[in-house]
This record gives sequence, structure tokens and C-alpha cells, in this order.
Amino acid sequence: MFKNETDFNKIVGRLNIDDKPNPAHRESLRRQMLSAFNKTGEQSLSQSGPLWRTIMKSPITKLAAAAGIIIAVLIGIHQFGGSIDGATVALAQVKENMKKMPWIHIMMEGLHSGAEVTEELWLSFESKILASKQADGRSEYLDYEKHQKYEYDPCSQTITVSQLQDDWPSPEILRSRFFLDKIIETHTEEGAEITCRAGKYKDKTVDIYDIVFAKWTIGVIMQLFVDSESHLIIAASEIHGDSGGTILDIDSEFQYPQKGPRSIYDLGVSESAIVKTRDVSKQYAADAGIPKLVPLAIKLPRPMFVGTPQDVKVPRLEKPLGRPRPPFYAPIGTKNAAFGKPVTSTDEDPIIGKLEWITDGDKEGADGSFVELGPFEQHVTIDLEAEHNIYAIVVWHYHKEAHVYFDVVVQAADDPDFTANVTTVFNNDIDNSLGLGVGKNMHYTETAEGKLIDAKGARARYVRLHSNGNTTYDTNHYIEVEVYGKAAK
Amino acid sequence: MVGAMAKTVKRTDIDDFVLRAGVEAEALGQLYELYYERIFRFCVYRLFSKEAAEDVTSTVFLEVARGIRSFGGQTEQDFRNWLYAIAANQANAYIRKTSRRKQLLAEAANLMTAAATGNASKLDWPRLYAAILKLKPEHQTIITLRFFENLEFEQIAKILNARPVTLRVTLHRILKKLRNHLQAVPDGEA
Repeated sequence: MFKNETDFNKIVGRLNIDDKPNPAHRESLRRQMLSAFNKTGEQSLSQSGPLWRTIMKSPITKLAAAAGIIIAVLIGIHQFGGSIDGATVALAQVKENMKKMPWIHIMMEGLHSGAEVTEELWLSFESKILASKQADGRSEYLDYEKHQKYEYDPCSQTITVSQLQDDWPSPEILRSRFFLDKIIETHTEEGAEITCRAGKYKDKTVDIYDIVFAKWTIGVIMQLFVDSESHLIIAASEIHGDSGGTILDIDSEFQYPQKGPRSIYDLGVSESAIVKTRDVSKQYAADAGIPKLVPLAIKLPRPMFVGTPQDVKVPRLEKPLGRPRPPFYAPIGTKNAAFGKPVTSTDEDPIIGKLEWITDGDKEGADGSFVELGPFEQHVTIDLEAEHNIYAIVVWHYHKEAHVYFDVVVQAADDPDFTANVTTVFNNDIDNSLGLGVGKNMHYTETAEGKLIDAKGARARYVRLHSNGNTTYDTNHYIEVEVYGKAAK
Repeated sequence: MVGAMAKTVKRTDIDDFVLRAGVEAEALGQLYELYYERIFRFCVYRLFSKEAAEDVTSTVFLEVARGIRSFGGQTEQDFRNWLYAIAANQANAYIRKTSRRKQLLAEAANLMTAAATGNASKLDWPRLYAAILKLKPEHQTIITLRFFENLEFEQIAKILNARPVTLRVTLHRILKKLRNHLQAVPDGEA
């Protein structure tokens, strides 16, 4: 095979790879790029910027907003100016074809503000139904004929029924449409750039419509893949970005079933779900038998960091509390079950220190107290040597400097390979780069207090902590990890 | 005396294109001509499929068109680092979508099956690509930039916002993993 970098280099040099570009693509992209460049500029975005933010904070599902843009593009596309090669006229026909279909079913997946999202959407122009379902089970069913809205929350297993005040099309679609109309209105003379070219989508011959709103910093690039035979959209791709980067990047596939969901239950919601109207709130009795709770006695190291932390540009960064952390309450008898317990890691040969230092009770930030693991994604696993009910986990990565560590994911499980009964108790991997799920927790700055994670009594024997470098270094560090729990009965 | 002590930085024509690209379409066009093929090839090595490479290359240069006016770099080196960083992120984003990753693996597996004629130990591109795809996205990028784009560690470090010494250590570990992947039976599965 190959022994080293030099050998590998020779192997790569001998590979036969077809990497010749297509001259037509090169030329077409050059035109598109320069066109996009010419349309950006010093334009003031005070009109479209706040409107875009309003849309993205809309109470409806994130991708339904984007899908609304797909639909609004279809509805309003005939208003666009600047058509090229009759593309606008052809798309208007596609729109008419789609409106005749009994149902449109759209599967969407992509990235929204760095987080992966997936969603299904059903739309019937004829029945005036808009239904959506997200990957976590949250569902909505909007019936504009009956003016009824059904929302399902999988956490509480409750369907909330409320009155739909608006007429079809929905205000969300209207807002999206308004957004597009606003752009069109403001830039009627130039409008969107639409080009059409032949292509393939998964072995099907399609017409690809490239729609670019690149004049404004909030850019929208959309591709519609239209089946050449049926003249129906079979797929779409959208990228929405601003000067800060990409906000949305989603791909959709379209199907046209004869039938669609007749109620929210057809979206997979259990018939045993609690149904309540918005005005009625259900009171749940407190669970009897909660054990007596006492504050955990967590001994803190002396602070090593002196001075004011630098202003780091990290998204979703927790603001400092400005005062000592309030006590954490746990059942009587809870203690640090990790003290002295064995630690394993993805980096079996740390750059600095030894893995056993992570549970040795020494929380000082000085040299000789911390362990440095290799760069990028690494994790450490602590074997509590018996099942415990875990109430809190406290981790000190490195508090001598005000770092923010990335992709901190903390899990508990029954087995050392983390395949059985895995519970995630903390996750700030907002873009799911570790593949363990999109994190909802916030980034935080390291302090001598450590990061306290509420484990909510998770029952497990093994605890694993992931990280992926920090704001200053690619390497990973641990001073100490404490796991507060009680031996499970 | 001032002249003797001052450090002279020689600017090239391409450095001038970079300075002017924020306001002149022609300068941007020149940079495009210089870098289109490199970025396309990078995408081919990262994505295996030329069709996917065209898509991502398009995304990269459209992002350049949108961002060039606020780009603060002044030299070709600055532009190149920025461009590759965009390309690396877009390629990773593309692969990160599970369905595409499976599609890419399946394409590589099909080509391996079609080409399989005897010498199972011969390392061809589909087999190597399938092994690379098993690495983490950042590691795949490092392999591509180092061995396919032939960039120095210092250049890769600037693109990935890492330290050169860290990259050397990481590359050593990546090659070890790649060797293990290649010594396993290639089945095109993740």
C-alpha cells in the first residue's frame, strides 16, 4: 500500500482521473458570475433586510417559509421582468400545470442558519390545504376551507386546534410573496435573472431554470428542475444568503400524488394524542414522590484567568451570568461518581498529560493539571463502573484562558461503544458537524466554575464528552470532569 | 537609509486584479479565468462526480461574485486562500447531505465493480475516493488540498484556519486511517 506521505503522493500522481471541465459550463458560469457581480453593489437594503428577518422569525416552520417562496415564485413569476429566452413564459406554463395537480408533495432537506433541517410539505390548491411535518415530529395541518389550524407537539403529544383567521393563500405565503413582490417592485426594470438550459436530474431529462436575485446583498439563487415531458417541477434547489453568509440552503423533491392527507393524523400523529383548543390549558398534576433535593457541593478551583475576555465572534454564545452560578439541587446522597474512574479517548496518546488526570480531582488550570488531546474532533469516555442515575456533569476544559470550545456534546450510555440507551444531555454542535444531531444548546466561555450540565437523572454507566477544538487552537483540552450521581438500584 | 531598511514587496499583475476585482467586472473575470479550472478540479477530487463538481463550482463563483466587493484581501495569495476556503466549505456542505454522500459512494462503487479485472490490490481513483469519503469532511479537505492541489502546509493552514504544525500531525493520522480503510474490502458503503 503506502508507508508515508511520499509514497501516497506517488500513488496519487499515477491515478487516472477525468478532471477536464466542460467549456460550455465554464462560459455559462462566467456570464452568470459577472451578471451577479453587476447586480450587487452599494444598493441600500433597508427595505428588504428587515422584511427578510421578519419572514425568518415567522412562527411557521422554517422550510415552509422557504417552500412558500417556491410557491410564491410560481404564483408571482409572471410578474418578473428581465426574462431571457422566453424562460418566464415557459415557467408560467409550468405554474399553471402544477395548479391543476390534485396534490403537490414536497420533501425538503437542507441547512438553515447552519443547522440541518428536513421537512415534508403537502399542498392542494383545489382543497385549500397546507400541511407540513418536520423531522422531530412537529406537524401542522391548515384547512382554509374550514378555517381550522391543527398543530402537533411531539414533546407533549398534544394537538392544539385554533381558528385560521386568514383566507387562502396563507399569510406566510403572502409575506413571502410580498417579499418577492417588494423586490420586483423595487427593481422592476431589472427584475430577476432567469435562464433556462437543458440538463439531467437523476437520469431524467429536464429543463433547468436558474433564477438569480443577486442584485441585493440578501441574495436568492433558485434552480427549478422541470420534467421535459410532464412540464412539472420535480426538484428545486434554493440558496438564500446575506453578507454574513448562507442563511438557507435547501433541496426539494416534488411529487404529485392523487391523494393527500385528510387530517393531521394522516401525517403520522397518533390518534391517542391529547387534543385541546388554544383557549383551554390542561393542568397537569405534580408527580408525587419526588425525592428531597439538596444543593450540590461543587468545589471550585481558584480562577487562573485574569483580565477581560476578548470579544470572540462565536454564534449563539452565552452571555456571562455576571455573578456566581446558583446552586444546583440533586437528591441527597449524590456525589461525584467519576472521581478516580478510568478514562478512554479517541486520542490514546495525548499531546500533553495523561487521561487519568481528567478524573483525578485536580481542577487547577496550571501546567501539569490539564490534558491536551489532538486537533479537531475528539472525545473522552468515563466508565463509572456501575449504572448510576446522573443528575449533573461538570466539565472544565481549560480555564486559564477564555476559550470557547466547539461541538461540545455530552452523552450517557449503557455500553462503552455508545450504542445502547444513549442519552444526549448537552449539545452545542449547531451545524451537526459531529453527526450526533443538531445542537440546541449555546456556546459558552470557559471559566473556573466549569460548565454544569443538568443530566436530569439519566441512567447510565458511561459518560462521553466530545469537542472539536476551540476559538484559539484546534486541539482539545480537559482539566477535570465530574459526574454527580447515585448508584442505580 | 529609509530605502535600505524598508521591505520592498513586489506586486504582480494578479495582485492588481485582486485589488480591482471588487469594483471592476473585468478584473473579476480575469481572476475567474485563472482559477476556474483549479476550483473545478478541486471539486472533482472532492466530489468524484463531474456533474456535482459543476454544481459546486457554480455555487463557489456565485458566492465570490456576491462577496468580492467586501473582500479585504490585497494579494493573489489572499484571494486564493479565500476562494479555496469557500470551495472547501461548499464541498463539505454538499457531501454532508446524506443522500448525496450515499450517491457519491454508490457511483464510486459502480465504477470499481465495472473496472474490477484481476489485480484487486491495484489502487484506482474510485477505490481511493471511496476510502477518502469515509474520513471526516475536514480530513477529506486536507487530503485533497495536500495531495491533489499540492498546497504547502502553510497555505492549507491559512485556508482552514489551522496551525501548520497541527496539520502535519493530523495528516500523519489521516494517512494511517486511509491505509486501514484501503486494506479493508472496498464495498462502497459508509
